[in-house]
Amino acid sequence: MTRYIARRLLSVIPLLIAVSLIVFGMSKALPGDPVAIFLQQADIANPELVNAMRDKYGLNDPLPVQYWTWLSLMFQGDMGESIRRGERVSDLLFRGMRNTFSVATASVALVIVVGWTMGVLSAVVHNRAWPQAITRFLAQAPVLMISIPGFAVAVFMVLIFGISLGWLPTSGVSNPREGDDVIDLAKHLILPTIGLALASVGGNWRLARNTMIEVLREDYIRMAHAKGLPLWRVYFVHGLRTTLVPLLTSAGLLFGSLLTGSFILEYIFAWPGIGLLLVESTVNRDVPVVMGATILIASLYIVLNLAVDILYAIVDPRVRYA
Amino acid sequence: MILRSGAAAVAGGVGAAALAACGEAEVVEKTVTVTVTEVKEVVKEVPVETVVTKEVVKEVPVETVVTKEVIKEVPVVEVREVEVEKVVTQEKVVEVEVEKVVTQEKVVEVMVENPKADSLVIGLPVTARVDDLDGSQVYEFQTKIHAFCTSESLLLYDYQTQTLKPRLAESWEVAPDATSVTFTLREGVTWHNGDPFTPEDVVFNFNRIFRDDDPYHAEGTFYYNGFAQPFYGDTEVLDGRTVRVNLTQPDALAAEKFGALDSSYMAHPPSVMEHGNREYSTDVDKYVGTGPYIPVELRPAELVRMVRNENWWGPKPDFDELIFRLFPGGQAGADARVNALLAGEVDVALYTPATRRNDLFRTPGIGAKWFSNFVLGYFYINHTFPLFQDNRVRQAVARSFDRVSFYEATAGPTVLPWGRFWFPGSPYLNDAAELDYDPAQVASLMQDAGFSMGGDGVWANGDMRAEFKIQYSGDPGAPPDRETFWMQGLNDLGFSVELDAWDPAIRADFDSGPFAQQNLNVGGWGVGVFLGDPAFAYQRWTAGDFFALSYMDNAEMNQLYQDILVEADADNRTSKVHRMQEIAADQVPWIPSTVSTLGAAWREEKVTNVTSGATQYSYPWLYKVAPV
Amino acid sequence: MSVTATTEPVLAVKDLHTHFFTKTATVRAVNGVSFSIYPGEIVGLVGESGCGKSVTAMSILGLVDTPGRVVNGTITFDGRDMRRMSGGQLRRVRGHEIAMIFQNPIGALNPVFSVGRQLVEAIRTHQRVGRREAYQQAVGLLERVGIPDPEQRLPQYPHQFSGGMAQRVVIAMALANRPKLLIADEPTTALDVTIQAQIIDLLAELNQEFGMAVLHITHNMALVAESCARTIVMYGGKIAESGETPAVFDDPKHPYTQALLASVPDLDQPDQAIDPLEGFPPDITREWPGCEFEPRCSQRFERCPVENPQLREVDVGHAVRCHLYEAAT
Repeated sequence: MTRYIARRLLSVIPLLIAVSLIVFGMSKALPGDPVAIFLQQADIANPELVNAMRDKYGLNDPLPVQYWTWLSLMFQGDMGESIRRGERVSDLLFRGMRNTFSVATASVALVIVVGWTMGVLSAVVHNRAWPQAITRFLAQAPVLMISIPGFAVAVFMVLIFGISLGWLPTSGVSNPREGDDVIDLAKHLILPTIGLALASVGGNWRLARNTMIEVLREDYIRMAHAKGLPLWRVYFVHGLRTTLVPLLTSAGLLFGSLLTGSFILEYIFAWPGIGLLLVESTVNRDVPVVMGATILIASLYIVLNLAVDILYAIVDPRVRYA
Repeated sequence: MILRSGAAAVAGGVGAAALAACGEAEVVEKTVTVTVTEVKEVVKEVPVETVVTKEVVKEVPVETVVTKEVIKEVPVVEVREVEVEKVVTQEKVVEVEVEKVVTQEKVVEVMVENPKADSLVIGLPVTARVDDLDGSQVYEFQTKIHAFCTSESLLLYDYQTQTLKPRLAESWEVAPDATSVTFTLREGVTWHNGDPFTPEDVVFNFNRIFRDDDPYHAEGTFYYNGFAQPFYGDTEVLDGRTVRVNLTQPDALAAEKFGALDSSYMAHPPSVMEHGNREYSTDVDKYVGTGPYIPVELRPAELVRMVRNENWWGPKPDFDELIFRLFPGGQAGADARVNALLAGEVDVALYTPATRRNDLFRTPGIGAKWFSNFVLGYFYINHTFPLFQDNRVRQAVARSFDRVSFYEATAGPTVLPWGRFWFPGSPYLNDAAELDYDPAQVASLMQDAGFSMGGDGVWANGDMRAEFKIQYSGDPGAPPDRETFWMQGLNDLGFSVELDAWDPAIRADFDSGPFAQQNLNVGGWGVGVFLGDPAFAYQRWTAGDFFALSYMDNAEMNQLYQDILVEADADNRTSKVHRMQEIAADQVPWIPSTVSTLGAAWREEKVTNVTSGATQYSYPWLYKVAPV
Repeated sequence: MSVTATTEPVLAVKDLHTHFFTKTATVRAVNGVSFSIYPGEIVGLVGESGCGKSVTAMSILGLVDTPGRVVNGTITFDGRDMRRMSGGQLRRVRGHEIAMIFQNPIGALNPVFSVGRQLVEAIRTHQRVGRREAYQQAVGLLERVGIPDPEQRLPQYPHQFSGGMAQRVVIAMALANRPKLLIADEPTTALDVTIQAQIIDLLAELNQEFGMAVLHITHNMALVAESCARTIVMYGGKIAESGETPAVFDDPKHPYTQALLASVPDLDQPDQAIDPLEGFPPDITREWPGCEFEPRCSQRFERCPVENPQLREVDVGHAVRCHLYEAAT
């Protein structure tokens, strides 16, 4: 197991170098002078300021120098300073990532708690002589969830639960009039989480259901029954464990993609996450931020993939010994 | 008694709490400004306790409007706002604000005291620098709204009256030869930490802001100092209350530039010296200002919280606590702001989108309006393009855009169609210099220019056909409504016009992008903000500038600009600016389209009105919030 | 004549009907099957795929999956009516008194748990023993079924076992609680021929040693001939013929049995041409008016398509369901 992990860790290094090169190359290929765009948006016509700012951000250096400076500084934890915001990129990324992380974690938790549970339950009751309304619901609800766009639901929920009923906050990460505590954060998380996770809940529900139905047809499930095991053991020990393998992969990839930030949801809920930061920085050519965010997201994705692989090996011994 | 008529859109400030100077007992003069805003039928009277009333009846000649008005006088230190709104014919509402001028020629804005000391949450869009508390380093205009509650400049520029008002300085004087400006500082002003505000502080700040070799200049970024920096020589302390800024070249607008420019904001010298410009401006614990509110918490991209400065030199600021809640920019952020307002999470939403106007207008308990923000929208037109080398053709093209129909259909009251070269309500406006929609004149202009209508319905003059492209940056499959509408109008009037989409990414590339001289025909959608500074307008009207993409070079215009620079007499300056607009209407440096608007909405239980406070030099985007 | 005729059968199945109710049709997988198994006896249940052998086995254990259901008949195990048992009672019988092994031994073991864990689970489900005790039992069981180094093998996972070894593990698991009856559903089908013999031998040994009855379900006539005392031939959800193995093999009565035997290559006479059975198994979604085998039968006559034959004893302990023999009785 240790060797397996070590091998996977080593394989990540060339990947990260490739990512850094691609990110750097793309940032240089973006058309438009970031400083000029920045200043022009504020109607500042000052060529001296443009040049001074270009110097400040190292944009007048030759490309290999820029790459090397960027890379070596980044290894020291210094990703530079945002042209547009004037803040340290690492601070910006930390803040964005913290907000994105909270909603991504809540979404994955929702996917697991609702999606997986409902999926497993609907597999367990699949083909049982239950009222058709219930079995139909269990089979069709996830399809509905997948087919309705999450952001549309989000907008709708804001109108109902935020504005009409006033139960939940419509946007933001905190209510400045109330305490900055966990309950306040939880309230603000509810609607974005539902909007963000809805389709994934449906997808995982269906995936869990289909996988579990497949698994329950396996011989070892019949064997488990034949061994006289209680039903809960058959379903939740023998059935669930193997069902978990594709589910974990799905959740891992979902978490990875959620950590890159969902621009639309962050936009709708004024959620200052990494997606919003990345899109705004890209549109405004805030190159240091774009580079930092891309590297961060790519690294996170790679690390998460690694984590999923390792988890996969823990859950499924066949992977470990392969 | 001074009576001013003429309309500007609204006045004041949250920060205009900032501008409210008071404390003097006797009421000497009364100023009345009349504001024409959007359609609204309201008659409002603000009840004020312990009010002694005198009555003055005035006639205000605004178009066909006659306004009667009651002025109420209030005993000392009590507060004090009187607003009278009346419905007049032609569906225009006239807002009358009464200002009282006290001795020492201070303009005092009077407001109703907030009965329940309270907090106010203001929703703002922020996309760039969100964390500046020091006004001199602010980049984004939205951010100024909160930075200008914490820091102050020596003077304020009031767009309503196109005049300067006192702030940290009580009076000012530009030398007759326009080579220096002298400021007399207000007495008794203190920094948030109790230090007195001194002339030495002013010297430190002007050097910090305008001198590249100043040790405290290097680390800060003073985005807007470029307008004044070329004129800055040095600053000397004349006595305990007076400083003089010596200029390197004459500038008749030196008081505006050094007193009220966006970057001319005062920072606390010991704090800047200790922490440096960035830390000083971004950390509430290190920030020390003079403004009416003291910042206590700053969560970037989330909120800025400030509390009342009990020792502020002006009247007691309205709210115990001001919270600026920050939203993303763009349509979705604007929607989120409106939602938060409707849900009661914020009390005031600024920059509300026109698309939500019906939600806002129809919801009980919500007040909303859109007002001019002194930004002219216009199209570039390339004078070097062969067809446009004749100014009559340029005029014809400009007169073929039916602005009124277009904006009535698409934006309702949220945009003001505008075919002139200066802002509505300004004394600088030359109303005769217009390029309004006029199909008959289009035809006669084209005929004068030697064109005749060809068999294919297109004007032609020999080999030259009236054929060009309207450029825009965006999706080729989804041209903007405005450009499409204009193209159709042009085609109907005998021009052969097509739309031409460009990649937005190269919009700013003036060598090979859509606005490069060899590429530009018409289009591009510029935005100009230059109220109060003819020089700024001149830059946009002439060749050789980053923003002047029409490639016009007019000798008389150039000369007028040079004259205005040293024209200390206000009336003469005004007539020269009028002449500049005549030249513009003749030469068409660009095609005016709108005066764009800013939206604001508020919860009526917390706030009675929100007005755009025109309170500083080039960016009149400060708002005034009148509490309940 | 059976040696066990005087004792009570360990399992008696009477008139078992198990049908599957799909949306479009009723599949009569088991359609009136009766037989008994006596203690210590090995009974072979043979037939083509889809004849209902496996469903019969699952019906006995009460493990028919929906949409299937036992619609009629009685299943008496050790004097108790299995069909009247509650789920809990059934589970106490399964794996304890009746054990089952399956065709694909690797598939029958959960791939994500170690073999030891699965064995211990089987033991501790039915015996009140500690983990360590159960583990010791598991070691003994693996030894008994002929797996070398059981201590090393127990922590391993199913994919680390060969098919034969896995089947031994499954058998060990089945034996864990000394069942009275072992149902072996095609236990060797997935294995190499050499391994097949080993498993069959193992089953025979264990049958001797523990005295458990075995119901050996297979489609392989040769295996039945080798190891089973009695043979039951199923066709189309019904029993076609049953009797002592020598009687059935030496004197097959039912044309289907005859055809089956003819299709088996005789290793002693390898040159003899085999005679494969033509046609397809019957459509069991409908109730046949006549004999289900009639369409494929070489000896059919007028009665066959119109009247369904009954199972009749044509010799002592030798029963057949065919019109050919009705006159004889």
